[in-house]
Amino acid sequence: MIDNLLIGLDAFANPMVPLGLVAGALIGYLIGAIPGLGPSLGIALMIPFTYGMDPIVSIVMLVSLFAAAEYGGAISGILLNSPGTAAAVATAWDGYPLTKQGKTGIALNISIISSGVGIFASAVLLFLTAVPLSEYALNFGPTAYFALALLGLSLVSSLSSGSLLKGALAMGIGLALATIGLDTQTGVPRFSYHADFFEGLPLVPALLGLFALSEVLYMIEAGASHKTKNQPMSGILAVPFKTFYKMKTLFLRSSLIGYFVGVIPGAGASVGSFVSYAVAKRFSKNPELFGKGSYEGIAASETANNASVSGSLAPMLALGIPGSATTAIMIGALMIHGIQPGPLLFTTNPQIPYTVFVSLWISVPIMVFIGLAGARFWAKVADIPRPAIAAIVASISLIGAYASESSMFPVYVALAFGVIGYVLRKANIPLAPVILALVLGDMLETNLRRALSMSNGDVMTFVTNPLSATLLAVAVLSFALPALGAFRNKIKGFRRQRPIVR
Amino acid sequence: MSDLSHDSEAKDDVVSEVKISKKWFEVFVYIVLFLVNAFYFKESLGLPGSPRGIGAGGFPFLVSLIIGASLIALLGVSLVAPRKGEVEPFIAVRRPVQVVSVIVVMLAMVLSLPWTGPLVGIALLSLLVMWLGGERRYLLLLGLPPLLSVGIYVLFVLVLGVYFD
Repeated sequence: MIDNLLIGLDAFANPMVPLGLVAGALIGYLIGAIPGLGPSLGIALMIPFTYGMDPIVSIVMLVSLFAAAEYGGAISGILLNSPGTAAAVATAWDGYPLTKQGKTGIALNISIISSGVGIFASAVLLFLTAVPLSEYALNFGPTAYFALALLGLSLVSSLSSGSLLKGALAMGIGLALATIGLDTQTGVPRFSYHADFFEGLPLVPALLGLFALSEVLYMIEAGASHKTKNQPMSGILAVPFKTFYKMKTLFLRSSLIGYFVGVIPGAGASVGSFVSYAVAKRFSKNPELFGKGSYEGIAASETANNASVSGSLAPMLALGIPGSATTAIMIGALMIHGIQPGPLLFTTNPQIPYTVFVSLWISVPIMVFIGLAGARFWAKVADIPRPAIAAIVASISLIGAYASESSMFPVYVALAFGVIGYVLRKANIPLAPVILALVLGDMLETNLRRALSMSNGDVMTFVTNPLSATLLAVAVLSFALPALGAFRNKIKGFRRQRPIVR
Repeated sequence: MSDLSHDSEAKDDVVSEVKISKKWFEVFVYIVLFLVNAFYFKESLGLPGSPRGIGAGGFPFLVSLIIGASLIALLGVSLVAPRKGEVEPFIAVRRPVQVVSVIVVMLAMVLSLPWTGPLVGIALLSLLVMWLGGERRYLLLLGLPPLLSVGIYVLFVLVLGVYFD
């Protein structure tokens, strides 16, 4: 294990790797600081730039972008009460009141340092859990893999949207799209009415369309933005060490919460930050300050949402199962370079996961420095005119789609998916399950068919294997429990509305 | 001198809004998806099966059942479920003309890319997208497109070695 860590550290001897880390951090801060853009869109936009890169450089850049976007999301939340990412909403609850009290610098400092603590602690947890998990997963057969993929999909579908049915529909759409192309086992063309479709739908253009081009249409709807008031940054470097030392238990607790919530597919950084915030308030000596400018509130939210970055990387690296739209996009980026995440990655290509672990640790001082030194600049980023951002995103998306195969077909796909993504978002159909199903569809089908073939078509093979039976039961419960809850609430609401006859 | 840091002068000529009933918009989307799924279902039945387990058509068949069941349930919820309040919820599309125009501009740029090339294509696209997005400052409208064009070209072609044939 230590040898592999040294291999990961050795990757940084290539100057392009630290350069990729810094570039990812800068772009991540930029994307995170702009309200409306987030890590998913940022990574989707950056994939075309990684085509010609070494896989190690590209994964380090994308991971640091992912982490920095979570750092950056807090900036506009603290300054404008308009969080750059959903995970920074709880940060804004206390960050913005501090800004109104003239303590913007202190709020930003606490948020940036807490983010660093969250990333560092969770990277240790990632290292300690992902390696044994990948070793355990080497024993998985097709039944367990099918059940695991289905569990990941059902959790994301049931957690990502208010409506369970819309989550299931989105999952179905993604799975249907994944079946387009030549059947990998028999070579039969499926739903492919033109030779361009034989290799399946190109993933990167589909991602660019769904996330980036649909966002462009939303930006056009919103129209021109307005300048925000500049805030004084006094006190950004004047937060004493004892302020952080007093919160050591909170940091540990929030890192654990963020990491383990991040591991759960579909839960993600926003759930982690809300849970951590609520727990911090529960254990605080000054709960009355929460929502009015509590340092602990900012620290709890930021530590947890950054810890969940490492958490979401655990199932991706160890099992090949993305737990969120962002990690699904990262899997797409790795697949472009011919790398398939999963347990075999740790034995066939250990440099990739171990470089990720090391890069998360090395990224902490770099991101804290970039955040603190560039606070004034990041504060101004939210003022970039929205139409200009729309033009940049549209241009990179379409040219990036073209560059993916040096042909026009992926560009048509990106454009079509841009419109589809816009309509689906208008109909409140979540996009995360579509992407996850698109990425996991092939794995799900291959393992289903392999398992049935090995058991001569006996579906009981999924139930007789204890691991797959447990995973399938959890998958069913993830759909059934929220459905039952919603049904019970409807019944209660109906009873409340019914007039009482005496 | 024009201030490029904000949009205080960038005013839209027309800010319109189209409100569509949420219920009927969703029903429309579900019906379209239902028709597409019916075609998908029919095609999956035509794919070969397997004597052991499921063949090429088995998985798409299962997927079409999931989609079909979800859509029927969603249509049921949309059409049968009683309205909670007096005001019917709606979906608002702000600046619909500009949104449709941007889609048309992107399509036109994509179709003309083989003739215009990436440099001119990106410049035109960004200029029109900004203008349709409500930007009216000439310095930004005329300054950003060539910079973006050259920037993307330098990054893709010169730095990353991705070529546009």
